[in-house]
Amino acid sequence: MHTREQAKAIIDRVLSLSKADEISIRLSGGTTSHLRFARNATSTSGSYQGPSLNIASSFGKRTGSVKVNQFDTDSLKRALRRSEELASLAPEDPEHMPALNRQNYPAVAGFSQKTADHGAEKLADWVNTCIGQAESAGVKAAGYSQTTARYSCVANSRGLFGYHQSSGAYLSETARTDDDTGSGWAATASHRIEDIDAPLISRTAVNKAKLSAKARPIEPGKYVTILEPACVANLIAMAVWFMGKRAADEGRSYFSAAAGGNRIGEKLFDERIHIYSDPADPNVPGSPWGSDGVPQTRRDWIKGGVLENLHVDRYWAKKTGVEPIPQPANLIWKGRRGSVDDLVASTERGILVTSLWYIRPVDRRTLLFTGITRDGVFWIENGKIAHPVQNLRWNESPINVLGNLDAMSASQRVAPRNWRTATAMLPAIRVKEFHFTSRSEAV
Amino acid sequence: MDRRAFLKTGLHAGSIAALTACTGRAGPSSVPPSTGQSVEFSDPRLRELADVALGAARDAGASYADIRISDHRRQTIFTREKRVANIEDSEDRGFGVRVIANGTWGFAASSRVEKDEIARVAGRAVALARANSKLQKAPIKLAPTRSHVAVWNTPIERDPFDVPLDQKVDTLLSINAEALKVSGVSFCQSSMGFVREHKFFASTEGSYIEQTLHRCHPRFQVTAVDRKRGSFQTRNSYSDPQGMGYEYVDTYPWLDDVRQAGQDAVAKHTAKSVEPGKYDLVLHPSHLWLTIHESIGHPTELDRALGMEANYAGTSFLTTDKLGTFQLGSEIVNFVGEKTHIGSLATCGYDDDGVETRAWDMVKNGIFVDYQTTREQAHLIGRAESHGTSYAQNWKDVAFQRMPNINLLPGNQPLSLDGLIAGTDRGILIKGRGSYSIDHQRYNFQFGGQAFYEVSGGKITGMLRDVAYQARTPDFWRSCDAICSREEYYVGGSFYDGKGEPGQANAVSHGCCPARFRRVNVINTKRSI
Repeated sequence: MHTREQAKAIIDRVLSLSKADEISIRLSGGTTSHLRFARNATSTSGSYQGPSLNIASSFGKRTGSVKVNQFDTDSLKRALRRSEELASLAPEDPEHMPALNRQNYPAVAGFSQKTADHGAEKLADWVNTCIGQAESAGVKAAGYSQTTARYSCVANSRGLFGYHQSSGAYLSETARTDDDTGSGWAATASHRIEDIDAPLISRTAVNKAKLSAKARPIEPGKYVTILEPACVANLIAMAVWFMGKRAADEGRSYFSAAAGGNRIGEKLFDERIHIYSDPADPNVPGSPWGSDGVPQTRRDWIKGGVLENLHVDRYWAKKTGVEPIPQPANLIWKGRRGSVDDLVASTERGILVTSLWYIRPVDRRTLLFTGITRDGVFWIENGKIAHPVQNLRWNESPINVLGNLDAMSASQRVAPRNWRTATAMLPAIRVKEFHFTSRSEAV
Repeated sequence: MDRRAFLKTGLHAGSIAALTACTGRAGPSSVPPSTGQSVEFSDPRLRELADVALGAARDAGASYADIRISDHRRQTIFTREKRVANIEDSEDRGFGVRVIANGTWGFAASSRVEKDEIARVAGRAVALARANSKLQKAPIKLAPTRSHVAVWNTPIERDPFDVPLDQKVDTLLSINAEALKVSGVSFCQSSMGFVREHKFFASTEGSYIEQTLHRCHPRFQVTAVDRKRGSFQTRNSYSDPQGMGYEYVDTYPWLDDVRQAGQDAVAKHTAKSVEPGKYDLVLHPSHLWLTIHESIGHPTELDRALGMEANYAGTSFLTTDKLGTFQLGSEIVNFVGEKTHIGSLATCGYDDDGVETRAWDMVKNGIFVDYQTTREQAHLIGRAESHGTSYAQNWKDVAFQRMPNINLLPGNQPLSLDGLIAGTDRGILIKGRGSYSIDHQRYNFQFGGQAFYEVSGGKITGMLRDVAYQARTPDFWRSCDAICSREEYYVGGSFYDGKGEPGQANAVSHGCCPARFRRVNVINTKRSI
């Protein structure tokens, strides 16, 4: 992994070879090690390292971008000339923005040397724990473990320079009963290796598998539903992805105002909802800058149920007279007290969902999404889990979910499906209704 | 050009070649046989570098080793309305060494393609295999394959990386301009992406294979905003990614499609919202390919059926006990797997196990008869050889079982799309790729589309909106009662078929004709929020 000085030296070499009016540079690299397991045995493993350099050369309002991974001088020169050639051939971009001046980036403690030093061979220890617990319980385990140590740099010909190191550790397990009628899943991620509790992950997955075996079908419909934090993270991430100011201003977003403009400042959700991002959060540290190099900072997205911000790029920000806002560095929903179990205990009748899968947009006007439940769905009766229920397809909007909030637990760091980094801290929530539209016999 | 004329002329390019491949008959541009030791590689150093890895792995105790040295060139151009939003050009080079030691896989990779680094990485792969072997239950067993010394390239007519940038930009901006001429259209964004994947594979079994694969992905999206109604509607292009060069961009009827797309997007504002219920669905191939991908392509992956993907992509309802007996579809439903059809996305000469590609039956007269397999999987279902479906997206990724092109064979009786519609009393015609979601065992799915047309009394009577259909895979395919004949054949596909941990993308095509499915559950997706 390149140190700050080594990365700076590469960038300085690129800058010195550039012939463009302006040049913006992104440099990243590091090591990833991974080990998969399935059917209570290892399957594939791997370890790789490889940097990536992105050069955007501009002549006036013409820009061309090139990405390469070879850093000898000839390769760098070739990449530069190619980006300059693309820029010279490109038409003028009326939305071109000059390179950023020097920025002050927040200090983010997202790197742990101990995690970076946790080599590929040590992943077998976690996997051994998972397989051992699965075998003792008489179930079949599949899963994935990974560690990463990475750096990223942002720089340009106006003197901008930022260097950021991050580390990551991830473990997930799916346990399935021997008769394939039950399946349970658990996952964890952190930038600190010591946060990975392999016995707990395995125990949770195994228990869910056993509890979910021989699930009963229930009629599709609208139910009081407890969504575990992994579900909440998936749904909120979908909503936030579509919280762009330009789309809203242009009339093609749920967040568009009927009379033009957007709905910033409107109370759209339950007043207990406070969702923000903070790159320097000690539990879920994020990148100090956004995709266009704009510094990240602590920022409210929804507070007191009011839409506080929409993300906006530099061009649209300038055109509409606001400050640019990158997409959030992480997602933090300030929860209350208690656990999923406490939410179950206070539920008369309803459904508990472990995770959501294959979430896709259906109608962007209402932010309607569809997906399927997965790896543990349970019927709650009088504050207790009564029995497992079969998986259900749902068609629901996170807007409805945020409007139908009934109760929430404390927030916790969560690694929802499809994420292998620790960038979300959210509660489990109970909603007054969640719309399930058909049954699935999938286990 | 009206809608039906577009159907006739716009989507059928290459249909004859498609049929040649999907019926398993090798055409003149099919995969050549192995050509022996006289093959000339683009760079003789590739073989030397590969031998360093194979020797180092053997010396470290590997019983098998292979190396892929690859470089990946990509170019993508994004535009919206009158501006070019981004031009990206990328090159990514490196190598990965895969070994079996103590009966266990090990893999390591690096971007430094130099002899000392290759030897180090090969040793690292063997060390990882040894470390993980303590958790291995049964040794990896590879099905035998012929060794090959060969060169194979995607046959393209025009290399997209040689096409001047201004020509590409002009094409995209002219698409946007044409869309904006349609009254009521507010926005149009368009892009084109090109991939060249060059890889050199060598194994300790004597194979040295060099391949250059090309893929392209041009597309647009038109948006119509109606502030009075507080509504916006979109319609995407009916173009699909292809395993072709720039000739696909040259021949696709962009202006016809974008004019129609603009009209469709505007018409959606006032289209009738669908009445939920059971309908006979006439699925156009520009839509049906994705339903095939999700409901037939994924459940026939053997690694899913065996539980190897249980933690991520999921398992499969097509468990191995169903092989050869399970009625997956009606008797007219036949699927063929292949990686040999010229123009399709998964096509290559040899897979990433070094196995020569081929075509094989997967569903015959509605019965599920075979899976997608790799060398390490074939013996698990009692097969002597692999179907050649191993693929890694990049030098740093481990090769594993990935979907080949899977095609629905045309019907035996002459039947056009117009004829199929004429024979449908109460139905919906669906065109284009829309929303899609399916469960982790591939039973329950929901699909939307780009454009929906009400069919009543054998005629198209108007446009519908807010349409999605939900079904259970075997019920759906058993309800298939008509498939159009070969004249209607079309190949669609995806650049981003995802599977594996770490996640890898695979590009894959699916050929099919329009088909009808009886009494499928249609829901209305409109919500008031």
